[in-house]
Amino acid sequence: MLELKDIQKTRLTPSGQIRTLAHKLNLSVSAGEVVAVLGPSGSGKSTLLKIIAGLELLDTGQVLFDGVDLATTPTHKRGFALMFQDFALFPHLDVLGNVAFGLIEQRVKASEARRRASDMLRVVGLTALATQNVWTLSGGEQQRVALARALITQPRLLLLDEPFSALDAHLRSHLREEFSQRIHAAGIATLLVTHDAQEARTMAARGFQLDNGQLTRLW
Amino acid sequence: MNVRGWQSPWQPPRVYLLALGALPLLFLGFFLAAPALRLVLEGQGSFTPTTITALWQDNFLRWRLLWSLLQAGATCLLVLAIGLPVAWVLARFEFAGRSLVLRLLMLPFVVPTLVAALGVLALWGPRGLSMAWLGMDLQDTPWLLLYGNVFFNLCLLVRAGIDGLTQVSASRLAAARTLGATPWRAFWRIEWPVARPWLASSLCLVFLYCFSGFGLALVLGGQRYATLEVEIYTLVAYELKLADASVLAVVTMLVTGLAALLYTLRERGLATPAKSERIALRRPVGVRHWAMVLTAMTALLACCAAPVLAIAARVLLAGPAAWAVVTDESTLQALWNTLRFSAAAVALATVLGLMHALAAQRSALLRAAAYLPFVVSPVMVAFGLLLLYPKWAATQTLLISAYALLAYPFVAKSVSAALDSLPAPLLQVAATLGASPWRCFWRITLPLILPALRRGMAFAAASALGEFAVTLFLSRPEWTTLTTLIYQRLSRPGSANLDEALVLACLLMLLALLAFLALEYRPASRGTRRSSYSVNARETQRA
Repeated sequence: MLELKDIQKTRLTPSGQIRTLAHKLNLSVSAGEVVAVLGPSGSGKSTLLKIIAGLELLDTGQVLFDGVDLATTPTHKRGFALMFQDFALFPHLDVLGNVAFGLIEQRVKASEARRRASDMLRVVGLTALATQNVWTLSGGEQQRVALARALITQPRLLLLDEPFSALDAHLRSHLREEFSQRIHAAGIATLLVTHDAQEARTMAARGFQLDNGQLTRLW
Repeated sequence: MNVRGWQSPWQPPRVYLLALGALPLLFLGFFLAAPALRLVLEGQGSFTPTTITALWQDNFLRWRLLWSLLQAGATCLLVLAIGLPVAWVLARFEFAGRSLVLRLLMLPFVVPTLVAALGVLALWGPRGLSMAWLGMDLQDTPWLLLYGNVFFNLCLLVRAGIDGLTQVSASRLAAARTLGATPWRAFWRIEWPVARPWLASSLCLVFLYCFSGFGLALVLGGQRYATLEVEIYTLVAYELKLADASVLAVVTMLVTGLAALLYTLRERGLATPAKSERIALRRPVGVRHWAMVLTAMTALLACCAAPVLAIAARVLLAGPAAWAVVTDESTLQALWNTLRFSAAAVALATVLGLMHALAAQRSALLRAAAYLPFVVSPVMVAFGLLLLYPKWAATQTLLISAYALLAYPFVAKSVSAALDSLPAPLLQVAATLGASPWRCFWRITLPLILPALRRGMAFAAASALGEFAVTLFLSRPEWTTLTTLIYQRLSRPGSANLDEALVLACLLMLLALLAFLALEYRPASRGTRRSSYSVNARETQRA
């Protein structure tokens, strides 16, 4: 279970003012649960995800997972997976290489990693595109590759940063359902940040509003 | 309070980065800063008001200084007048061969200085094609040097102009037109203000290159139109007036430093181009459009391709007697020297450039330091090294280090630009997928900056193969390279020697092109989208 305790994060704006992105913020996400954090652009949603992933330093507070403080655990040892709104696929690797990336970092043998990546591609319906360059894929296909890449490492926590905002309305609605099913099937604790209330309500069991650095429960 | 002992994975700790920068900084200090300081100290006694007044009152030296400034300024005006219309045509029209022309704009950066000088002579010199066809000889006129300068620098301005003009917002231009602006007025009121900073930035570089250029001025300037750099070389190599030479060297460094400072200031304004809806390329329609395209291409051909074609024509006309020089023992030795010195210099430049670029990611000061070898001309570098390390003057270590010093900024700048354009989310995702900082570098950063690294190496190779000034100062007779061999042939009277020099120039040009293509070429089917992660166009034009 993920627990955020009294997270405090401020940032200096270009005009020299101090802006509070998180103020004494507390939140927990249990295994298999999807929690959504809503908020307008610039409210600090993405920063919150990066703090959890270990990509941003926090001012004060604790990030705990299964009761263990992650303060001294670097990003690559946390066992989380992060999905960005622009997918962040590696342009120099093909689809299979992208999906197998995390396994290779877990010291899985290359042949085994590729076999397991092929299996994962079959699950997300992209077997035919395994050797394609990622930039030749459509938005929906790229989204599936990003999800496959995130899920294949069996992360302890899935962090979704506006995962559908780059897609058109029809595809967004279709993929939202597909993602929900796959995430629930995998039973991974998931934290979704979005500015789309409908998306949050469709996917998450609990929802919070992040405003002026504070979380307010919406449902 | 949680204080962590580690940093984010895509941002290695500052101390590691600074440690990476230690070697390039030591190298710069040892081979650039210390010799430059030595140069200043050499002339210390001469920096009195009396000596400076005496130098200024010397008509010959005053003319050298004024002409150096004048030819650099005149070149800026010429390349702006010719280059801006050419850039506009290339930025706005889509026509057959456009992409080839864009690629060929790189050519002058690959052609060694001495080859270019010979090309200009082959075209406009006393035995040139213009003499044979038009009875016109530009020898001992300022036009010969100005034409050479335009050959080298026009493409720089054209590339900057294209980059600037592609930043123009299509909707703003459309709004201006609907509000009654003619195409001409729309250009001046909408397009010109956007392109101006890019052009100004490249003009600073043009001025810098022309003012501190050596090879062209030495061969094309003659007695009357040589520049300060040539004068410094003459004072050191022939008259042994080191103190006078050092005073001139300091004056040169002040001017080039000022131009470099202006360039850096202008450059900061270009750091984040505004996102805008780009103007779509259109096919030329009607006589007016086609006339514009043809005029632009003719201008490019006349200024940038003609000298290279003139060398080829002269070599073909020269006949087999001149070609015998290729198998001459001295040529083979020079070829071997050129190749081994260049290979060693590129290897050293690659290591230094890569380390410098990685170290400079979070230090503007360190990044600016990569420009220093551009500010101090090769003549200054060689002269300073000669003064500071006289015992090493004719050692391969010093020669190759000097080559590498002049070549490594190409690598550093190219890689820096690629690192800047590397999207942070890629590294962040890699880290969350379990990649340690080192693995992030090995599996994500390195493959994505590889095209830029190769491009930087290609420019470094072209620079090392064509290096002339440093070789003249620091090499031994038995270390003759192709450039110095060409210069030897050129210094001897008679058309047979000129023909041989032209054949050797052809050989050197071919070598530079081959090295450039070998490093720069990548099969189209593999790798990344070049536009996204390789060095961007602005960096290329800078390089």
